Amino acid sequence: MKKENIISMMSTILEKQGKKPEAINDNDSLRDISFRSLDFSELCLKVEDEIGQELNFEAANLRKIETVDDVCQFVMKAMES
Amino acid sequence: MSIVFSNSLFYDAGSFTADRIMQEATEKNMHLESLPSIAFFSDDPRVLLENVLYLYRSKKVGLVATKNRLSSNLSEKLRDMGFSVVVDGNILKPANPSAKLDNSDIYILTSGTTGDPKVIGHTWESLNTHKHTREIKPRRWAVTYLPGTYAWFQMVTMWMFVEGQNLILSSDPAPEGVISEAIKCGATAISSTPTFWRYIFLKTSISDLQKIPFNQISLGGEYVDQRILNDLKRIYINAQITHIYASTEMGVAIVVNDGLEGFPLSWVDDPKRGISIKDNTLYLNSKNSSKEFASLYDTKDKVEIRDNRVVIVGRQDVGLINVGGQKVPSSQIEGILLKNQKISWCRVYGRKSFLTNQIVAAEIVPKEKIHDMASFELELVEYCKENGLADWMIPRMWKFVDTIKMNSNYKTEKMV
Repeated sequence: MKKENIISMMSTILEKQGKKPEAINDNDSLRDISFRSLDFSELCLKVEDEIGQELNFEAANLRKIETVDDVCQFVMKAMES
Repeated sequence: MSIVFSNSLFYDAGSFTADRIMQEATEKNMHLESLPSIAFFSDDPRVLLENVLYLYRSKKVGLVATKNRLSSNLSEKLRDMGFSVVVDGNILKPANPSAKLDNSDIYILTSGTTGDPKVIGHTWESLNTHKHTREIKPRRWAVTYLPGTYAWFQMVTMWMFVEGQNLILSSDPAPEGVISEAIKCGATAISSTPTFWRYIFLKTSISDLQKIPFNQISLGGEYVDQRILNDLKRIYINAQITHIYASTEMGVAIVVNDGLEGFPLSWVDDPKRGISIKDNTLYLNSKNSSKEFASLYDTKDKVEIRDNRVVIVGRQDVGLINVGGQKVPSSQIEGILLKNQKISWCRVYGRKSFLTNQIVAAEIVPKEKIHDMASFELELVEYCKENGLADWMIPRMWKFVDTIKMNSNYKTEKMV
């Protein structure tokens, strides 16, 4: 799955929650775009459904997640492991 | 109590009086005369009914159930209790022949939703709940419950002990089979779960359903919501629609006939009814309970008071979804979704999530074909918000399906 697909999924999730920003950029902070832990959970399960396998997370990497790009890198890494 | 020998059973294109079935049962089971307590297992509903009559006539202690209930653990447990286990005529003698059972007549297996099935003792007296009803019109009942369950025994003891009550058993256990047998045999009454009806509404047209002259519809086994009561009333305008709160332990405890979900708040703490509420949980002291549970019993069902009605919203121990430490019964969310006229049936469950433990997911059977699923999903999220669900209770994962899995007792199968 490519980065733009993940961003598109994030955008859809935010839209469903009634908080879609005009655009989502790599450096946007999750706090600014109101992307919360439930949104993050939904994203991960949607990715799992899409690729047909469970993601393999590293808990330590979660602490570093602050921006849209961090989310994308985290998910892409979880897909690789 | 004596058996009404003229009551009939309709099964497999034949009709048989209770008298004839009793005679056949006696002949078939002569070789079991020396056994004091017998657990019968079979997949033939007529054979299981014969076994019930045999147990009653011979004053033996017994249990009847379908073969899919019999695990090696259960067989061992029953034989330790002193039962001979009879499977399709083959006898396994008790492991502990000197074991003394209590003074029950019939033992019933619980559904086992909360673990291994429990074996609950009842007497013919506690099972014959119909003795409390003033007048029961003659009826032909379509039987939908799994043989050997408490709800099935309700039908069977009514047939045994109440004048003019006839049963229709279907050899095809699918809901469509039950309905087709009901039509063929001229059923006038039916008792089933809301899930049974949700499934039938998907498969059978309203005009076909209206051809069945049901004058009594009883609902139980699951939470009965206003939507299902209304849907049935629209089809069967002249039928009495009753919903019943019962469990194997408590027996029939609450019977409601006013067409509204829940029951009147005025029934709580009424000494005649044995209903109490503590910490939003329903407690019952039922006159039809197993002796073992003849005191105030914690049902573990959570309730809410709405418009002077007590409405059951879900269990404390089954189907709880835990989202980041906050817990909600799945049936509470299902209850709200089922009020939406665009939804025919639904199932809500928790999906495992690395970040929040679980998130809420829903399977939805739409009433009509959905062309734009994304918009429908958005509409349902809005609907949940408008109906007071907190953010974390609103399903995040939506799946639109044609039908939902149900178990052999026509209950919507819980996802765990």
